Amino acid sequence: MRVPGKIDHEEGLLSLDFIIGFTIFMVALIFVAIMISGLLVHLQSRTIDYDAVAYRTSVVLVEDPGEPANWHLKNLTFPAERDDVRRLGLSVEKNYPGILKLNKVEKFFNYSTPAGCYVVDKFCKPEDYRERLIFGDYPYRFNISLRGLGPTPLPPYSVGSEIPVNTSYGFIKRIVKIQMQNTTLTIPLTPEPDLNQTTITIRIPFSDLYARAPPYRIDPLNEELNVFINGFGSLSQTNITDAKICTFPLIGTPGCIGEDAYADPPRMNVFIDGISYIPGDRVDDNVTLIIDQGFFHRVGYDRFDAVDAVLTFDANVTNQSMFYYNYTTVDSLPWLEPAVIEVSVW
Amino acid sequence: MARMNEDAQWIVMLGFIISIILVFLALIVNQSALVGKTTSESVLDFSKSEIQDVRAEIIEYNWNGTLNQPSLQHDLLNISLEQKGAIIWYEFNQTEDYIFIHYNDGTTEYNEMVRNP
Amino acid sequence: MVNDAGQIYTIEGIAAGVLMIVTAYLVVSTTTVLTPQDVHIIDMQLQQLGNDALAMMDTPDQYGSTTIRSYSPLTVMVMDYNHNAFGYQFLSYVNNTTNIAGTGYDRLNYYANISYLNDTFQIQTVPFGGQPYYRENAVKVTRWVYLPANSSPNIAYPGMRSDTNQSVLLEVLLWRE
Repeated sequence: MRVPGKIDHEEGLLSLDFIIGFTIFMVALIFVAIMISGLLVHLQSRTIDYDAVAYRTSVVLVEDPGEPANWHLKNLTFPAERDDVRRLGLSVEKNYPGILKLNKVEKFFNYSTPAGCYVVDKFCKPEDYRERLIFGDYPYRFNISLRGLGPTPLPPYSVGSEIPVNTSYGFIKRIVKIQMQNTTLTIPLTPEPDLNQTTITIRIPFSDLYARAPPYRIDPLNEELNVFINGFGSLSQTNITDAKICTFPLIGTPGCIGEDAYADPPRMNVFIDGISYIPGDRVDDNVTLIIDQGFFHRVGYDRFDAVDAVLTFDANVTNQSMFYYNYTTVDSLPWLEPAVIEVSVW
Repeated sequence: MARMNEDAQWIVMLGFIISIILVFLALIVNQSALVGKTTSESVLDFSKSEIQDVRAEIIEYNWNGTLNQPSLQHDLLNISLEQKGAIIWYEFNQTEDYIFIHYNDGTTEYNEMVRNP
Repeated sequence: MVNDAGQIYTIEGIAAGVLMIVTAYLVVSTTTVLTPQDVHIIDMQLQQLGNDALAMMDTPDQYGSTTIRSYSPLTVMVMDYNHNAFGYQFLSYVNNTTNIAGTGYDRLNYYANISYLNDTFQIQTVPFGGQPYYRENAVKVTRWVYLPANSSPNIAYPGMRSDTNQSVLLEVLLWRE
């Protein structure tokens, strides 16, 4: 029985303040205890983020042709062209993930450090790569490396900082195939009895060349073209008088473009016995015609045009009125070789 | 009349405030874990390679000229349903010249019309 | 002597002490814990690598001639049931690294099998080389392989339909040793 005014040790009574405070505290404690598992993961979250960035970077590199798709033709000396390059992707075309274009690979790994890199045709490490490949506000440090696994030796490409040994980093490895080119059209001249042409005309039909799937395609708008004509030693003395490229059919603009139309690359290069062309030069052994990558793009051709490369001499050199540059006449077709790419981000 | 005990109000109030702060912090920390968790998981969930593979296979049928062969359609459908649990179906409409590709593996559904293949 | 004053102080002190002990234990014990998220990252890396390797093996290196397109290396290996060549090339693709941080060669291994529709339209599976799988953390990558019509398919595929084009499924289980 309760006796008022007397403190009784055997009655389990608590004051109201105590109960309220205790209840609130216990509820909070239980809540926090349930969320303890979330506290564990917080310690690992930085690592997860880097792996996601590395994966995303590798997808842009390996599966995306980049924006614009022919960004490897841009001359980075000019700031406007450097800004044109929005995304660095190495793939040969949109629907062919994993097949890389060698020109893009070579241009991608051609870099220098600020501030000298802004006035030359090189990417700036690391700003250009961060803005055009990795994206995001945080200044990630990265290392992208590529090694060829095929028979053709490729230099060990690498860009970025050195991989840390003590901190964790995000990492992904991709297997790709690189399209290799060694394409030349070789025209051997022979001293036949019925020589009747003073011009060598090489017809390059773009639409025929574009009729093949991109991994195995010779791409005149975005790649270099080579023509090698030899056998002049067996003919009587010949001088070269003119070299030009004409649209076929020859109507409208741009018509015919001479070898001297452009002084800076990309341009049409003619070499007489290995020396640069001067009209009227005597040809002792061979003529090499190299059309730089992006030359046709610069002039304004598209994939439905056809051009004639016309070399004029002052004596009869051949009896064939037209030589064709297509998949059956060139000496070596593009082929694919495997490579491994690693992307590390931290 | 017994008065309510007004002592220790400060202690109770401060304890209450601290508890709420603790709960709030635990909530924030717990949510941050979820953000990282779903990044790799969602990459695994989206079957990008499967879809690329199916597209490549069907376009290869087109290049080989065997797009109209019904046994190939049933090959893809039956084997993928049994081994991978995914539905793959495609149709080639000759008059309108398009290929319709359908892929569904439960988490991702993919439909595409390839025009003028 | 002993009375009931200061109850809340006591309880608060005990709870604070328990909280501190539990926190200290958690902080100390998380240094070596493998959270589930790590497993997803490893799975993602392995799966992307395996799919890449199979896709690259299924791409012909040359166009072939205008009359007959060349087959991809994977198609030739499956047609001839050449699982040794497949194993050699597949492991070479997935284990090579770019040697950016010293010379490296990974330790991945695989187990493969091929599923096809046989002449009674049942699905049949034959093993295609590799090491036996025990309990490692593995991912499965697959690739559809197009087999052209062949009047006499390899005897390793019992009941394979002859004289008709077909698609078979190559499944590869990939794990790190």
